[in-house]
Amino acid sequence: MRLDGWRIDGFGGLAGWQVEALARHELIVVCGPNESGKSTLREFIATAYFGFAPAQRELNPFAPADGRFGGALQLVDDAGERLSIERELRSAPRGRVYRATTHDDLANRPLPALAGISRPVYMDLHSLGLDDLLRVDSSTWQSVEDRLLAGSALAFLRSAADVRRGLDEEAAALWRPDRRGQPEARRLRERISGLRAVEREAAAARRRLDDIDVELTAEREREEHLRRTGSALVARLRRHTDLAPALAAWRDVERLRAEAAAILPRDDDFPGDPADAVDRRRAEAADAERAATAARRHADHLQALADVPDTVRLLADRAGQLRELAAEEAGTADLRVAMATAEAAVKARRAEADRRADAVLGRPLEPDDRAALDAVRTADLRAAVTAAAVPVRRSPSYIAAAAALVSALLAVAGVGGRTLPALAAVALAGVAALIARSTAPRRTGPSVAAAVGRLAVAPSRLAMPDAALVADIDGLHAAAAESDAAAAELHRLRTMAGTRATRLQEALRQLGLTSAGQALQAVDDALIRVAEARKAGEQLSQTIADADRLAGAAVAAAGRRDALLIKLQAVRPGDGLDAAVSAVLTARRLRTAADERLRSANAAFGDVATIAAEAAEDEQNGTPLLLDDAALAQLDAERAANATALEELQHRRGALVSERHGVASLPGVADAAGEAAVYEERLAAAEYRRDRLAMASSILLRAERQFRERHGPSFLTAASAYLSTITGGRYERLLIAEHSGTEPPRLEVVRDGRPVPVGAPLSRGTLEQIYVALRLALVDEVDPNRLLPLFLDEALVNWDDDRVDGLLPLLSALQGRQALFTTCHPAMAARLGAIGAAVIATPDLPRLPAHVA
Amino acid sequence: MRPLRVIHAADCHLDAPSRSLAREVRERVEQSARTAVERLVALAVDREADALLLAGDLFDRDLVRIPTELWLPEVLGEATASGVTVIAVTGNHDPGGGAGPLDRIGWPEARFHLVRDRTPRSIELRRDDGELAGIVVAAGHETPRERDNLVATFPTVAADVPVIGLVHCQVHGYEGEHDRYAPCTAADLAGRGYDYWALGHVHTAVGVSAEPAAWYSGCLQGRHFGETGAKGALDVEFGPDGPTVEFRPLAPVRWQELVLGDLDDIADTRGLVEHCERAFEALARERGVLPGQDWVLRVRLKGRTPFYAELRGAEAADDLALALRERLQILDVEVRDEGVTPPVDVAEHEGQPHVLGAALELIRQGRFDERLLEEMAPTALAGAPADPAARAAYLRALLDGLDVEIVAAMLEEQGR
Repeated sequence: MRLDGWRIDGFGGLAGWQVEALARHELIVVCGPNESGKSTLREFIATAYFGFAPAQRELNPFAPADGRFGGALQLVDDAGERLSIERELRSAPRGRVYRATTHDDLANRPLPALAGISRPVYMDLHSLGLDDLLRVDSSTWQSVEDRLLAGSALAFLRSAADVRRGLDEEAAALWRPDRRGQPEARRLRERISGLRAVEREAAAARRRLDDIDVELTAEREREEHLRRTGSALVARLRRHTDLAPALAAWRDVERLRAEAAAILPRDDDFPGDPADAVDRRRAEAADAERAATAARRHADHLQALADVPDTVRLLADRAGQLRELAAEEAGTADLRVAMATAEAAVKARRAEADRRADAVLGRPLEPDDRAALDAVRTADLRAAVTAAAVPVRRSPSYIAAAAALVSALLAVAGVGGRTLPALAAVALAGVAALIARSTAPRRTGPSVAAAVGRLAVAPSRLAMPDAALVADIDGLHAAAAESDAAAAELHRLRTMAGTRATRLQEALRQLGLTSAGQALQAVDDALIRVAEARKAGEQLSQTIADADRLAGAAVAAAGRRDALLIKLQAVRPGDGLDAAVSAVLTARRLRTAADERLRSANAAFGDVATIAAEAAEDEQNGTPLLLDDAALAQLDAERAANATALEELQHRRGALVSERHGVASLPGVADAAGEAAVYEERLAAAEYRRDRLAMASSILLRAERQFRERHGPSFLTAASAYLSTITGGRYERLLIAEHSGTEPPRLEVVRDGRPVPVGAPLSRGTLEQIYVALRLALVDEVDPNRLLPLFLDEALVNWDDDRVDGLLPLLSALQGRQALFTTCHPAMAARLGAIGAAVIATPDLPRLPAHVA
Repeated sequence: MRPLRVIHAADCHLDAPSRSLAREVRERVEQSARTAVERLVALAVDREADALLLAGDLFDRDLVRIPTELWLPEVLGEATASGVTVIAVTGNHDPGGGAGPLDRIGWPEARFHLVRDRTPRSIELRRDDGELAGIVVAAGHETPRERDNLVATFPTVAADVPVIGLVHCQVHGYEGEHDRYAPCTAADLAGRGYDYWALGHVHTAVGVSAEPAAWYSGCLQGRHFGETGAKGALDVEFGPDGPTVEFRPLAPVRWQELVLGDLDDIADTRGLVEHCERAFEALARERGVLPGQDWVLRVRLKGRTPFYAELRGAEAADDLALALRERLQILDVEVRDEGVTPPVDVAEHEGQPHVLGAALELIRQGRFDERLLEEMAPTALAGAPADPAARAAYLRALLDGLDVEIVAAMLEEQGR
């Protein structure tokens, strides 16, 4: 790549400066005074290559106050093709590269042919100012070295050092072998350590919790014991204070009861007023006795009434019979009348029967006729009689003949006509026929004789049997029956009269009575007596029961009376009833007083009996309820000590409870352990990641060294050759003594066979020559093919003539790479022009840059 | 005769810490451990089990909370009152030697056996009618560090009824993260005449041996992301052909990791949340997920995504976790960036003549060259174990995915 010219429309203080036809020159010198635009030209060329930086016109220090900001740079590439880079910065940067037939838009991008060379590298290697000649910028060095020494100049790869630096930074952020910084692993370890401490604390707390619970249980038991003891002491004191009156009362009660018992040992069950009670019981006994006696008497009376003599009872038992017999006797006259009547009736009936027998039989009725008479069947007889009665049956034939005649007459007389006499004749003939037929003899039924059977009916009557016969026989039958009935009635009456007389006589005989009248009177008396006895008997059982009950009551009343008397006499044996009653009343008064005392004491102190019993038990147990002063003082001291101990214990317990609450509120073991486990995982991951990054960095470093070893010698050889050429062989070789990390290399030069560190002992000119040599070698490595022109801005100002002379053969050694020098010394320009350099004078500055203006 | 049925559970770790920064989660998991025990008892009662076998570590430590001391005998009493014999052996977390919470608890008086000494003892399982249904031989831990092989002390048995060995032990080959207490081998379990070994200590339900049948029931309730998946108990029925074992999930809270590695198409937060939601829904349809299951989810983000820059850093992870928790409506979500990278192609740079190619080559060699790996290792390591073998494994682990990370770092735009 060769520089052929430029056209600066406006850039810094330069404007309207155009130069052409430089491509054929190896060396170009721009000469001009200070501030004439030489350094501005350097920036213009860099801008043409890489674009505006910054790309905002108002920020760019080379932007003119007005007018176009930019220009064009003409180049000839390695193939001999011309190209022109046009750049202009208006509101936005514009860029275009023109070739013979084509052009490409660049916008603000670098020229594509410069790929792999960044603007800083270019500015530090290809385009040097005076200040750049004392060193190589560390970042430039690193970048260049990476590309040249460790990886060749591949545009698509990042600097291995950059990558390692990134890896190392990332690794260091995760873990560091030293104590510097606060890497992730340290923070995690601290966190884990904290959590493990929490876990240990939690575990200890959990165990402490158990211990506290045990202690609390013991404390609770101790507290309970102290409370019980304290309560017992207080209770004892209180009992002493509170219950002493109760005990005094109880003792009064006991005294009164003892006095009463001395008089009357047993409980008083005497009536309220014993004397009055004695009187009352005596009266009650007497009354009961009287009532019992009366009742007994009444019972005896009723008993006497109830006892009826057998004779009276017999009379009463047979009263009905006797009365009936007497009645029968009284009714005998009537019976006689009836018998007389019956006898008359018998006679009358018998006469009637005989009369009727005479009509039928032709004689009086005989006893033997009765059966025959009863055997006659009236119906059969009537039939037989009817059959036998002929004269009576002829009368209808006359009547029939008369009727026929009358009919015929009626027919002739009433109708007239010739046919009627015939019809009348026929009718009469019929009637005659009928009459004739009816009057013809007929057969008879049963005979009358047979019908009357064995009844000896008078033959005359049989000869002319008729209805009268039948009626007579019926009448005879009825009369015979009535005659028999009358005879039967008379017989009955006579039998009855005989029976009655016999029975009456027998009864009277049995009762020793003589007459029926006497018997009736005796019966009445007996019935009255029996009625009285029944009534007495009905009352008797109740009366006897009442008598028995009253007798019992009398006995009981007497018993009560006697018991009271005996009981009273036992109180004061031999002292009489009044003394006994007085003693009872005295004892009673004492007991009443005791009870009253007890009631009031109970009301005041509770159950004083129980209190007394407990006191007695306490006494037996050695803790007497009533205390003397010494005992009271000791008890009070014990109580105070107990209260103090209890207070201390409660205080301790409160502290334990508080501690327990605090311990229980701590995070749990599992909580801390679980969190710590996660952080441990993260720590392991961080450490692994860090080691991985460190391994990657280490591998890159090793790979880099391999390349350094492979490419380093040629680079240093080239730099040494350049240096030797420039210094006329004074300095033989350039070495890299040491290089690590991001620091620039420590260089050494060999002079007279000995290495000399590149630094202060060397002159400025020598240092500049060393770095020029180094840059030329670097440029060769970085840019072996594109041969970008070098730009050395006032680079030779500190060089002596010999060194400048030495530079000339060096330039010939650049193998086609152009070099553009600027100088403010016309002599230097002339010197270079003498050896074939194109010398260009800077134009007058037509205007000032915007930021200067 | 009704076949013998036992419910086998272990490692309840009551009152154990749950690894979470959220108190809500810790409290929920602590409560869920109790709920799991209540479900365990209900299962034993519902299944009319002859016995409920608890194979150690009923408690996590000797600091048993007082409410637990009161609650546990009540809930176990429900089992014993229903005719279920409860047999618990002690483990390394709740050893039976010395005084402790085991002495303070008012255990059920009938049908309950706490085996806290290391000498095996035989317990008959008799039904209400006196019928002998089975025999359990059990031994417990007396100390927190039982180093002897307890299984080797179990007697050889022969009986007409099923015989079960009950012990908290570490069978070789199933160590995982567990300490090797009461160590034994699968061979120790065989040849002693036992029909089934009910084992505790390993927190994952796993069959150790088929003949004889020997199972770890796993823990009853997971407490951290080391105990993911369904947790519960084993329902063991002893038929004519031997025991059949069925896992019964019981844990109300399920810890689960969700690895999201297929992120190529994820371009923004919404896409990532939806991607995670789909993955979670698939997870929730898996077998063993209980209705109303509570979830504590760890989403592990891995792999290439153009969205990687937004996913890096703890703050981004926390924000995403919060969004996921609200979206999935679950107990808790943790998001971990486990190597989210830009979509880079490592192979493209391998063997290339630049520092990246050299670095990739070093990583490749380091996987096989322990000496080189040790040389490359940083002078000071934060997490390397002291044991040389473990240190070498750790260093190798550091290389996992490191090539992608280095490529991504070297290719990142300037200034990022």
